[in-house]
Amino acid sequence: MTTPGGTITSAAAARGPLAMEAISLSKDFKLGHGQTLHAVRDVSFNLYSGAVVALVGESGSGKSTAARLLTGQERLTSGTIKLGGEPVHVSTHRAFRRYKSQVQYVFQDPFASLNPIHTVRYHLERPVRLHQRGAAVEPVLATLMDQVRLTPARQFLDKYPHELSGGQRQRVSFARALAAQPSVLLADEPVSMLDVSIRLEMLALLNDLRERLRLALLYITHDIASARYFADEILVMYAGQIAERGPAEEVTQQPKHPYTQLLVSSAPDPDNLGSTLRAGAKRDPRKASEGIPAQGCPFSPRCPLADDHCRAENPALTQLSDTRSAACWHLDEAGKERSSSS
Amino acid sequence: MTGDTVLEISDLSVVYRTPAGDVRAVDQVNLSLHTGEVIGLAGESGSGKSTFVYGATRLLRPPALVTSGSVRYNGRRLAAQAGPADVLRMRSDQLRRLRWREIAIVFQSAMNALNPVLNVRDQLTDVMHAHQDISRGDAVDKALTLLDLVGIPRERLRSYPHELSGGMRQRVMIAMALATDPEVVIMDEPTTALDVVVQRDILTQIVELKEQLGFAVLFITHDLSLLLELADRIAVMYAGQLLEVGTSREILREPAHPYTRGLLNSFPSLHGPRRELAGIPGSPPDLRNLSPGCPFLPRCSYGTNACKEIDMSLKPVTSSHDPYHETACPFVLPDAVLPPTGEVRS
Repeated sequence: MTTPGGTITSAAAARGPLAMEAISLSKDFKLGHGQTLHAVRDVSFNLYSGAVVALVGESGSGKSTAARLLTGQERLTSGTIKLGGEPVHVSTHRAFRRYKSQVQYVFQDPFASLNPIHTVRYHLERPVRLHQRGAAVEPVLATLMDQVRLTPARQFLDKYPHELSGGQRQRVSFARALAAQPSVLLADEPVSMLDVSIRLEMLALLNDLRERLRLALLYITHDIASARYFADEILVMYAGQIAERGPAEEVTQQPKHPYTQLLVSSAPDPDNLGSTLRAGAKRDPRKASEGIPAQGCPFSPRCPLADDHCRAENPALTQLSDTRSAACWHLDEAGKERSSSS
Repeated sequence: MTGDTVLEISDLSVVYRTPAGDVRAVDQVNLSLHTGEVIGLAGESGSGKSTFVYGATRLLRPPALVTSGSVRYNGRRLAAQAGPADVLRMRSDQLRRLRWREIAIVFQSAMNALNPVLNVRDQLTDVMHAHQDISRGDAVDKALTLLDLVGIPRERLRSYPHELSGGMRQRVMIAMALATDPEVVIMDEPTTALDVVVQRDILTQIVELKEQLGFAVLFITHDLSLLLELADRIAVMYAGQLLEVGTSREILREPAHPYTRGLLNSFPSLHGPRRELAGIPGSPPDLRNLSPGCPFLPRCSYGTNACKEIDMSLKPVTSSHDPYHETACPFVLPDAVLPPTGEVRS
């Protein structure tokens, strides 16, 4: 169905060596009554040390499920995950622990992901003891706190989560992930629960950690604007599939897939000062009740370009350039409509 | 400023009574809303924006306490009968007539605000029966019209909340708010939990309905970029106080308060060239121990010692194109020479 990710070069590859490969990942959930939800369908991408790949999509697009597959929290229905060139087989506790010390996950909600009855020290000591056996704990804690800029460390280590602000809590989550000395960091909406004025600082911190620790970072978000600034490569997901991928600036500035175009044109644009809203901007033609069709292109019910071909057959990812590809039968027309309307 | 003043909130203060003393959640805030206008109230979590609005509509419960101020409501229907009335001094029967009939609210979380055991028809007609004298048949007809208005297919009339998508639930909430033709609709983060595509769709709808029905909107959100597109005027709230009020154009082009400037530099934009983003260092203050003077001082890159004792009332921005553009910061005005905005401070 999809051309394998091998021929296309990731826009993130220039940053560093290959760290992790996701090859044709699929995940089905059985819903009962013989129904199956294809949460992730044939998704392939690579993560590179020192680079950020963003997985962008709306709720239900499968972006978080894809990340959970990478963390080993969900079993693959099919596909392969490779870490440092070796296929990952998580069969024993010991193997899972080794895997986790390489691949760490940052949760979305810093209010729910820290245990309210334990101090910061407790949250960090455990992963340090588990993953850095034999290391002197105290200096490691100080380094971690310094890395996430919670200084002076002594003052913060003995605090409880409720004594910290949202931003500080998320810093603790980062530190907890870093305590395992991972090579890959999966960040699932790491800033969406934080106030606008703090988000940028947190992204700047992640960016700094990526650079200094040469982390391969997967940034999962619904906010394509933040991905433009933060990521090297953007993968746009829709209904479990990759709709479009390419360098962040290109995907956001010249989107090729009709869904990406809809996403970009829907983002608030302050420079418009109400003109688009007041002119009755082009509305999403979708009837909100319509789900994902059983066959054909999953976006076809909402797509202005959809025809019978789209409704019958699901388009594969087609390579557009060295670094870009999109899954649409009407890429020529989609490109034209975009350039004529803007 | 289009029409007459329909809601005039003056000097409103709200405190939370705690054993350790009063926490000043809203401190002497003035804001007026005109007919047919969309006012955006922007602020981060804990800035007091919801407390302010719920205080003005008397929806707060102890330990929250409105300590001062007046809220003059001057709707067309009420004005014809008795003239403007102060919401804060209304008797409960007057308040009952005011609520929903005159001022309706679209709550943030449609999932929690809708009753899970009532279908759409019952939710909508319930509101009408509670606040209006209307027959059952007329109420159902009205409910169908409302569904048309907000773009929900009529056959959804008997659907239950769990059968609707998040966007549709939010539309039902909007339909409920419009069920009694209110003059003022308060929207408390109505699209925050929704995807951007659905969000834009609903905002477009709100603007269309407002043009069609002529109500005024008070739109509360943390998302300034959204307000710049949606609102006629924007009020920026921080630590329980208004720091700046002005038209969207002025707020975007000539922001007068350092906090507004910081916010404008905080969100990445999809459109146009890549800008240098700065963000605001530090985090919002703890209202329990707020030092006197400007609450933004610890995070402000222009702050001076004089800020520790300034009067936080709003002053007109003389250089502005908008005669009603006001800011609480007397030191940084658009025409003042500014130090360059710095990198992210850590």
